Amino acid sequence: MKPAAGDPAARKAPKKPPPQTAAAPIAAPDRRFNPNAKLSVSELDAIRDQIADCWNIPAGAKGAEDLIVDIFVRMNPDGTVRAAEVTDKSRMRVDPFFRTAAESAIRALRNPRCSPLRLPLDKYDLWKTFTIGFNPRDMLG
Amino acid sequence: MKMRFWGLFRHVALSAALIAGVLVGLPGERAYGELRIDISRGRVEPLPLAVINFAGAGEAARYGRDLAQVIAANLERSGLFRPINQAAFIQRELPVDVLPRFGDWRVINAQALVNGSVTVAPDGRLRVEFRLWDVYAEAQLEGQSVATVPGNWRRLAHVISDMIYQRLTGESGYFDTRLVYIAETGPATRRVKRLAIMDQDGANHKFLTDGSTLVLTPRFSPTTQEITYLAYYNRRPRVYIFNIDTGQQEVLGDFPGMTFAPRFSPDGNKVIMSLSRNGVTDIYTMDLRTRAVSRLTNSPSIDTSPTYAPDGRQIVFNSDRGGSQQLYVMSSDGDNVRRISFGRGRYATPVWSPRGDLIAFTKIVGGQFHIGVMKPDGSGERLLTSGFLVEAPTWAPNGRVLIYFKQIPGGQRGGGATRLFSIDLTGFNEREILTPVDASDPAWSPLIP
Amino acid sequence: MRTKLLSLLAAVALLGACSTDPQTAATTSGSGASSGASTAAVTSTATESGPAAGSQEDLAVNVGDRVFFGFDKFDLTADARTVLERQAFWMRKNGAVTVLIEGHCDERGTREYNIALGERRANAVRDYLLTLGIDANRIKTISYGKERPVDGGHTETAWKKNRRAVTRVN
Repeated sequence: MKPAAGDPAARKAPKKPPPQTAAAPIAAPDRRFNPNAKLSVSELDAIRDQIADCWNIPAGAKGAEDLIVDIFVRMNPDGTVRAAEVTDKSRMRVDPFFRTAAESAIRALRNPRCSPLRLPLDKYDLWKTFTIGFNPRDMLG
Repeated sequence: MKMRFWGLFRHVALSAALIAGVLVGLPGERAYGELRIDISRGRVEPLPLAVINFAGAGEAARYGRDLAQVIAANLERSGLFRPINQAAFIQRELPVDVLPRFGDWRVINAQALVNGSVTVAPDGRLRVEFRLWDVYAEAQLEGQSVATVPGNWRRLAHVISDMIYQRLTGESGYFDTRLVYIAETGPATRRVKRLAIMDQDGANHKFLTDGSTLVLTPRFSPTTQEITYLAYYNRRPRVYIFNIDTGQQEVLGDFPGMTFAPRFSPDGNKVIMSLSRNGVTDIYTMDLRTRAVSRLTNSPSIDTSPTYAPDGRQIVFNSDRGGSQQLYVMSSDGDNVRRISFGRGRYATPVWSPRGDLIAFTKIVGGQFHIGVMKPDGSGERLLTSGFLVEAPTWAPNGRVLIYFKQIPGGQRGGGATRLFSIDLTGFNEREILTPVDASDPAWSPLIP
Repeated sequence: MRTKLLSLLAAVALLGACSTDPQTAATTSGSGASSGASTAAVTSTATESGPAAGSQEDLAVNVGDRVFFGFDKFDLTADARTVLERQAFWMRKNGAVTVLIEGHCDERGTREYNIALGERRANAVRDYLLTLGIDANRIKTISYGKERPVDGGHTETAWKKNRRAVTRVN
């Protein structure tokens, strides 16, 4: 059983899990600390579950294995999305399949079921901005 | 003349497609590389969408309702969209010059919204303007104005459906197409077969032959104006060409044996077919302009059901040269023959996808028939559906839907039903294509020019 | 009386080719005269007013107008050869007769492949009749693939009857 999104246990997850050694330095070598480490596994699971439930995958899109869409998100403190932007904008203009996938990802973030996102409000500094990668590969085999 | 107008229309329509601002601009600093969340799951279910009756006054209102109905039905049948019942709509009328109340559509979970306006011009022509909206992003995705004579209103609905489908899936649509098939009546031992044609949604159904002669395996020409098929006129099974406009039928060549299994080449200049003589069946082409005949295979086996790749450079066919019926690919000149199917069972009726990436086939194994697809090199075989008898897949022009026929056996006395079914490339959304009588040997047209 | 004997022989020959069920054999030889004469061979006792010599009915009732094949096969069985030898004898006796050999298949193949397979079957019959001295221009062939079953059922019993080549008097 995964903890439900609004589960108090998830919200009360320890603020400082054991230090992680592998993840951060490669992704962001010039950062002083890894903010990722501060959202608990349960908190991350909850947000993934919530967004997955809002995302209508564009079924059968050609070359689906290559359709990873990164969305940069700016959040309001109440957990609603203030702005969402596809990072690879040039591909939006030339690849209709990518554009379709990107629009479906944006719709997921605009879906009423995902507003607000169930994030720990006391950790706003951690999720004020973040990147979501949408990858339909596992769903379309 | 009518056809030419439509071709022009399609071109203009697509090149004028709007790419409106779905995205919200983000001024200010970037902070990539902070928190990252990866989503690898989602809902694979039809997109909820609202199609509101197109607005119009008097007669135009009737067209507006009919257009919305045909569009919603097309999108629903694709399996990718779920049109929301109009009874749930809060905003009941929405001419194109009015901005949607997006909140009203979010409440009923519509992710996309289609509206339009119809006017009847003084010369009687219908003028239709439509809009496609992203409800969550509150942005217009598509907006077009199109016109036609009233008798053509269904095609207008199909063309608009194709534009919506394309904008929301990234792939071209297939609604402005037709099916030709064999209509079947009578008992199994004295089956009457007729050539029949209809729109992809079953409208405008017409029988093309009267049933006095056995006809089989029709295929469209690339222009959709001609059909090549097998007919038993005068008890001589031979390949014919039927012109849909004139109703004229013409035997193709004078071969010293039985010709069958005809298909057009992608450029429409040739027909490829089998010729059986003295127990040997080989593959030939005939150039339709010069009438020159070329022999492509020369083996003592049964080589039949040839189909071109969409680029015309390769041909896939089935042959029992290796002892059992398998699929082979060769160059268009007959060279470089190689076997591509190696699974258990017998493989037949290969058809190259219009987008070139897959070959669909009929497979017989374990007493069952199956429809499947594989890559042109034979890898990645996937079976999509099975049954007592499923046969003869034909591709939608966008290469993501197949139609085939299925025989549902009757009792001891025979009979049963033979019907057309469509299925998505993913193996989902299998549904019957309704026909007035039993049906087999379907062939899907390209998009109508 | 002689007619009846021959009829029984024909029925037995057909029986060996397709089934061990005598009812099936009767049905098969009965539907053999599919050009109109539908009297079952075993019940034919019309010694005086029998079928006209050289007619389809004569061939079906007194000789056997069809041979049967194995699944996806076109080689002639020993029984098939026996029937064709009688057909050749009959054709020599009725020297003016020309025939069309129809090749047929069961429904367990795809349409186009079956059209080719039916042609092979018809051709196997034609070739054998030629070796028995029948003139080539008295024999034509046609294939109906799986389009003209004699039994519309979906069982092996039906399929056995449908995998056939029928000699049709023109």
